[in-house]
Amino acid sequence: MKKLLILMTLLAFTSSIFALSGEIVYAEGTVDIKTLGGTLEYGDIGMPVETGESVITGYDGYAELEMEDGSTIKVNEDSVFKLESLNDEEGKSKNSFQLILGSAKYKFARTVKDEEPMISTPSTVCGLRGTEFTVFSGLDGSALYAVEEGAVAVSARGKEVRLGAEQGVKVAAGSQPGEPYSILRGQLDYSTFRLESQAAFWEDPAGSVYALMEQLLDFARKADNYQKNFEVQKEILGELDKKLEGLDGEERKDFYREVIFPAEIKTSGMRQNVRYYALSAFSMRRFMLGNMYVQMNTSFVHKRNDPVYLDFMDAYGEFMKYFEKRIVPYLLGADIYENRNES
Amino acid sequence: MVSCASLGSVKEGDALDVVTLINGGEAKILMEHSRLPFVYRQEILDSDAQLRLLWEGLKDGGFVPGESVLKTFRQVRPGDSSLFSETWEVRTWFDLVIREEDRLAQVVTSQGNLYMILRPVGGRDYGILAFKEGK
Repeated sequence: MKKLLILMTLLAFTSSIFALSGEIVYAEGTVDIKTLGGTLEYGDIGMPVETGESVITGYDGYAELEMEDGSTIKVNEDSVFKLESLNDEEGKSKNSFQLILGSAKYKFARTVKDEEPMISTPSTVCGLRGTEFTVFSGLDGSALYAVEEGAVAVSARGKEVRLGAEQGVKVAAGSQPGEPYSILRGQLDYSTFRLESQAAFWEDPAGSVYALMEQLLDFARKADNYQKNFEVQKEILGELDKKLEGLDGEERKDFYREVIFPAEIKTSGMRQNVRYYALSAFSMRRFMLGNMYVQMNTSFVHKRNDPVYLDFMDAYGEFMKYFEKRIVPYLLGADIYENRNES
Repeated sequence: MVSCASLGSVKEGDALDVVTLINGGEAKILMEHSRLPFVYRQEILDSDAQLRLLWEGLKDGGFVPGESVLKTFRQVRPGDSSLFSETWEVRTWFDLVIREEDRLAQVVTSQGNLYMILRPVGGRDYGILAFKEGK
């Protein structure tokens, strides 16, 4: 129990050391913040957004976040954006900006280069080498990146595509990035991408769920791997603690500072990564699969025996089976709900 | 189950009011009554955009329950989560969200049974926490 407490404390400690926090500097329409504790709060100007929290905009919503390093993130309507962090092998934290659904425009400060964040949608990852670009994440799991200034490298399914200024690339659901194409500044039409993504979903609703399921399993594998590493590292830490008990005075202090503390940071980072991948799967499941489910059940409210609906529900059931088995063990009740500031 | 005194109570008529709103295609008013996180059948909705998808979707899908009769109106019980889903998420939602003053309503309509969970809001009004249409 003591060890767990130490790790939990370290988890919070490492998060606060390396995490990038932001603040809402402009908001209009419906903007909610899903906090770390699971609370849903109305987002307003001046509200802080911390690592682990999500900005959720309604169909009429829009929010601008300013990060403490001067970078800005504009979250457009009907979008879900999450601020996260992921740890490397040494336990050093890297900021991660996840666009689960909808669209967001990023403008990074020049100074961010030393600590460049990871940009992602549920199915793609983008290495940041540029300063200004927009990301779209569609209902069917597709994504679109459009660069205005600088350069980015978009990766999905083991293929990386590099984009320069005024270039974009589409990544179809469950696919590698396509060929880059020219996008003139200010000429990008998100509504077309949104319609195409909706159309792709309606063309094959069950297929869209299976594409999400592949991503789910990828998240689950990564969470499992970090969990295994975490368990091993915990044992190593236990051995180191025993060794520490046999030391006294300065030798003990030095051993703690030079050996134990870095090992604790590394261990807590691994646990944090387990949660990172579990929560990535959870967000994808909540907002992408959830939207699909609502659309299918309302559209087919009078046709629940239609084969298209039944195929979708079969796929949905499969997805949920894996989700319950592979992801739920890493989730907490607070990920669902804790308290709400309302009467 | 969390207790929260002095919030008033929901009435049987509130459940029938929800049906009237659905019959009238009043998606916007239904959205205003809905509380997040919201259970729709097996899913937990977590944004206004999702509530809009639900209520506009039912309206666009031509869902009109028609004449309705209230069959059940009672305090929510722990096992009621299975009316919606057996998943961990829905069970957890029931454990953490449901309060003593919340009521489960079962309404019989020409389109089958409707289940909803209502909560008193601000003394006189009601909030919709969960909804399920189907047989």
